[in-house]
Amino acid sequence: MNYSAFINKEVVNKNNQKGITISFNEEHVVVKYDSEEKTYNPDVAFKNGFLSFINSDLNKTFTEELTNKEKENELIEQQGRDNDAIAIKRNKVINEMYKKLDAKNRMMQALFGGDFKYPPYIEFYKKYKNIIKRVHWYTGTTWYQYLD
Amino acid sequence: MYAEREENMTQTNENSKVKNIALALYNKSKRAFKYRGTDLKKQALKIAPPYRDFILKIINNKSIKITQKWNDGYIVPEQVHQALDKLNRKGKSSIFTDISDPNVLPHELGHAVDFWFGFNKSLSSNVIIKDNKTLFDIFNEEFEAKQEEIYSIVMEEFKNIINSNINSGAYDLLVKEMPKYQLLLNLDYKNHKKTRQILQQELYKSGFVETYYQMVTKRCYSILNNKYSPILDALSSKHDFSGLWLDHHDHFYYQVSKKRAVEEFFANMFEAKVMSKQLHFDNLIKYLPKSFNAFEQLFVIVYDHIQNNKRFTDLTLKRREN
Repeated sequence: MNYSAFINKEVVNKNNQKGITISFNEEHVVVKYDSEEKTYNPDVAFKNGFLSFINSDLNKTFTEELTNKEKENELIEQQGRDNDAIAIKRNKVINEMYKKLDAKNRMMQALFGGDFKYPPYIEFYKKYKNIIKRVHWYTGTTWYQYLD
Repeated sequence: MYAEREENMTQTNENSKVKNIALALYNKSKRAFKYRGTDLKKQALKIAPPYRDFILKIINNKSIKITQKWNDGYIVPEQVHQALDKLNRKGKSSIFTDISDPNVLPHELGHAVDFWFGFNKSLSSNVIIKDNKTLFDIFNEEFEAKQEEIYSIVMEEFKNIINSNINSGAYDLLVKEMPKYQLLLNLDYKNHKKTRQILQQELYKSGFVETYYQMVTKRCYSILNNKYSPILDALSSKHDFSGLWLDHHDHFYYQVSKKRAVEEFFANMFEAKVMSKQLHFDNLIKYLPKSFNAFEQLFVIVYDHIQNNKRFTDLTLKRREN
């Protein structure tokens, strides 16, 4: 958003006090009234309708800009939520795969001795070490397995 | 109405027999079977109704002790006395059985019946059945002549099952790498750590590990075990089945005595008979008809004598060669 276009423009507040914008950025807008200077949050002040530009075109463009910005933010948030959901789903799948592989590994160890290291199991474990959760059957605590 | 009543009466009669067997087992070893009520009942139910009285009589016999042993089943002589020419001195024995597996106890009871007069005087190798021949003679004669043929038939079936379930070269791979696997099982962890690792890597690279895992998890052996259990056990006296998950005894078990094979045959048949495993009979009649008939005759003799409290002194015995 180009904030410099909204500097030195006439604004009016809800109490019908007129003033001029001295500075304008993403976080603050400073309005100079006759007797004092006040700082507002532009998103809140213009959205609530406390402040408005006297020039209706300017007002319109600013509100449009604001809605665009909101939409963008929402999109980013949604993307973040989607990414989280994907990550959670992926972790779940990986943990399920690990459970199956772990069961297979145990069976292999029963057949070929406790010292047998089933290579696909070790590779999988090393690859997804940070994602795999091993929960103790009794205490419920998690731990990581250390493999050579 | 009367038919219904009769049916109810027979049902209650059978239920009481099952209860009696469970109770008799409990009385044999109160401490071991105290919390195994369901297992005892399951065991009693597995015995076919026509033989429940007979089995109850065997269990109630004071010369037999029965106790619990996890994942195992065997019989041990309590008192070994010199073999006499007549069957008049009962042998004492203790049976160790896993009561949670209902197939074990009938097998061990089969041994107990065979060793009714002591371990030196097994009925299977002493009682003459016909033409001056015992079950031992008849079984050995027939089995020696047919064992190669039976072995090839059974193994061909096993090969087909494995290859169709896993892949076309699976059976050959299993047979080829089996000695290495056996060697791996016999090496201990502490002293042969590196050799074990090398063997494990070799087995994995050759594909044996995956194939063997699939054979075990897909239970490729269970069909054969269901069909040929007594035959497989007999075959294991001539061929090594270790590692293939087929019903067998270790190869050296049969090398201790020549009579072991027929003793196991008798016990397996006794188990099949008492539990009415018809599938075993069909295949035995097909492959070992003479031995099957001989067993039937011996079983009738044993059943008649034990059930009717007869003395065994009327039986003709094989003369011992000095």
